[in-house]
Amino acid sequence: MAVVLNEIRRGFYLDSVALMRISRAVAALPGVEEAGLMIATPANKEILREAGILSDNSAHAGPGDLLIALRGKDAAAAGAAMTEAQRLLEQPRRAVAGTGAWQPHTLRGAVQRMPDANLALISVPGDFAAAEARKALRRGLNAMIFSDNVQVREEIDLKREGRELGLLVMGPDCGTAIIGGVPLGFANSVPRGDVGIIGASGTGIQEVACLLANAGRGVSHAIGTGGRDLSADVGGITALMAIDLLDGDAATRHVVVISKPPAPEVADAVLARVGRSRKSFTVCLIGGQPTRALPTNAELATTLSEAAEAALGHPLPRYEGAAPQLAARGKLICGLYCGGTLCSEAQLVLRRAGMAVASNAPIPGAARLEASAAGHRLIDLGDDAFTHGRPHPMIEPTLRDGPLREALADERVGVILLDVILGWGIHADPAGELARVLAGRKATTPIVIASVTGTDGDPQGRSAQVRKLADAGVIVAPSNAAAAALAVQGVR
Amino acid sequence: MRALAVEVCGLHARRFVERHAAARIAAVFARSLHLEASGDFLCLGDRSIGCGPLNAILSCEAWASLRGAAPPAGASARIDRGRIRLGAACLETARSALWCAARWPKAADRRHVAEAVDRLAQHCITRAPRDGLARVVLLPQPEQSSPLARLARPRIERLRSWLDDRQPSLADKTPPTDLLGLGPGLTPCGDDLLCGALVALRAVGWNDAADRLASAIDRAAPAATSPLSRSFLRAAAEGLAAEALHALILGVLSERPGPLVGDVEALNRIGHTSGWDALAGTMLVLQAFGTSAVRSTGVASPELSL
Repeated sequence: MAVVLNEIRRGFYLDSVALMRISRAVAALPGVEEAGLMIATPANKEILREAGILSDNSAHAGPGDLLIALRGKDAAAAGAAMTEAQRLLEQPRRAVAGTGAWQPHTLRGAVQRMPDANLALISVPGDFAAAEARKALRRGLNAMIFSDNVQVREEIDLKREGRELGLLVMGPDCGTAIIGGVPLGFANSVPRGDVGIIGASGTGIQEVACLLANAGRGVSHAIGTGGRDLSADVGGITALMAIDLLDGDAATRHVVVISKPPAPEVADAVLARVGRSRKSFTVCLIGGQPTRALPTNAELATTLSEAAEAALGHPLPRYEGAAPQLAARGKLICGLYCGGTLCSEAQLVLRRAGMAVASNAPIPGAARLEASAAGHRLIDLGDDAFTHGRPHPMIEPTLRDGPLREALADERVGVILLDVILGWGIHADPAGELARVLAGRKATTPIVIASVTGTDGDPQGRSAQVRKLADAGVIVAPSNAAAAALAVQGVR
Repeated sequence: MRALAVEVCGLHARRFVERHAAARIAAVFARSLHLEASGDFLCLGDRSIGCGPLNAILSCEAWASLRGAAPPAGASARIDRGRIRLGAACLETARSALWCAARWPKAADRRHVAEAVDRLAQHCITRAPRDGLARVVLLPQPEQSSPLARLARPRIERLRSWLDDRQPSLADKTPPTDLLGLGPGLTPCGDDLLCGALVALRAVGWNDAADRLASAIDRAAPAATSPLSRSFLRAAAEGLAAEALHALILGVLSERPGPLVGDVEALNRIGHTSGWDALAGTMLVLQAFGTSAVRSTGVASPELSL
């Protein structure tokens, strides 16, 4: 025998689209003959009465209430449908109370929820990332693989499959992208504009995007490729597809390509593709030189700052504060970086100044840290050796506390260089964490110079973070390259 | 506390901030957050929700920041000197621009309006959603009928008849309000339709009719529909609704050529069918105006209204 069930939710608000979707989902359940979720106005109760799904106990429901009404073919079907309706109603409310968005548990669930989605961001342990990315591709989704520890063989297979399907595979280990104005992964809130960015490096993309944004220019799309894409094995599949996409994107007028030195044959292919474009390009190979002449529509930038300046068409603002005054102590520079590419850029600035530099992630011409303990040291704290089993220092900046205290106490060190990276997914107050460690230090301790990669649109707010650093006695440079140049100036 | 600037405020949103010292978060949605105080509502969101009388618009970045840290529904907000304090966020409204709908044309030619409404109807008839009331208004013959359509059709015809019969001799005829609270959605379809009708009545200068309909709605609404809907109806009684609706009506009255495709598309993005339902109410009025035998020339100024 058919059973009618009603439930009243007092003062319950849900947007119209969600109400309609849930109403249809419940009506489509097995054994459900009729269902409706409506604001319990007298007129709507009339509709529900006419549909034969209004029970007597709903008479007291008022216009501020939500009424769930359904009729099942029997008690079991009606009860199951009501349980499902309750679950569906609670789903978005739980999300609101928590992270701000309903989080599906599977890719399938996400696609059901958002049938128009065309990109999946995959952040699962590396062992499972390739399988999830493959599922995404086969559902017609572009994939951004945030996860690392994916085998290179898997990366090649995924990217080839994506290419055949006309779908982009960003990553693995793609930490940053901005697609259509939406920051993905560790990315910043930057205005939309006409500069496209393709980067094998997350912090490289962030630095260039933020320098552009803070100079009043916007980004059309920033496409991450993953650090291995321009290797000989992978062959730059994503970078080449990204150039195709930005070349065909009407909103993009200029493209910046950021990479560590690529494999020569891959660099040739990329530059050949650049040469076929009608758009202008800036090619920024941190620490490297192209093995062939650049096409006429491209110019070379050796640092991220230069790349931003080339895209802007004018120089970036210079540091206008007082020149750093070195305390009576050693003249070594110690850089402690969260961003790998920012560390590379700083090495480049020091190398161009004729300084010997060592790093755990050395660029060409720099020494490995183990072999040169006595020289300038620039350390990438985001390197696997520091983050194995621990959060990245962009998420958990206290990882830098120990090395920072050591550098402050080291008599040989005259300048400490730091990067402060802001954006989505990043620690809420990295400058505050640094200020906490720097508080109460003696006047004789090293000069601390930092740059802040971020915008005022970021959750942390760039201006507020700069103020915290300045209040803590930190010299804040307008860019990472400018900070490194100031450090050079400080120790000379 | 994070300071976030409200860029644009509607008139009722501004009044909300001026009149209330405390509010309750009624709902947090993906694109908007609703505050409620003593039956008044304010809708916070980014530019994608569009300007409107109840809306307070933030930049995309500020909205994302607010949305990420917004307290859940039921939480309190404090309002003081133009600042709305919501959890860890402080929304600054004092420097926001006031959204003002464009003025209606002084005079609209009724023949032109009739032609424009016909073109609009032709454009909409294949695009209107199956849910809601737009198809009930647009289609002369009923399609496969839903319980909503079956109940709505005679009520819509009563409203149409009241609009067509607006003559001095019938001035005391009570406007029909039985569409109030009718239909699915956070704001029931019937309410959205009445909002569209109220704004269109102001637009064509039939202010007396607008006053009488608004007054009847005001009396009936407390028992007939939700508090949020009543807020929208109060704004519509003053001739204020979503900017997309204003743009469409202005396009019809100002002899803008073409079928107003962009405006219809903008309305399509409002709610599940809210934009379409408001359009349906507007078309009822504009059709009545276009075919009105009472006046032979356009109106739109209060002194010419009945």
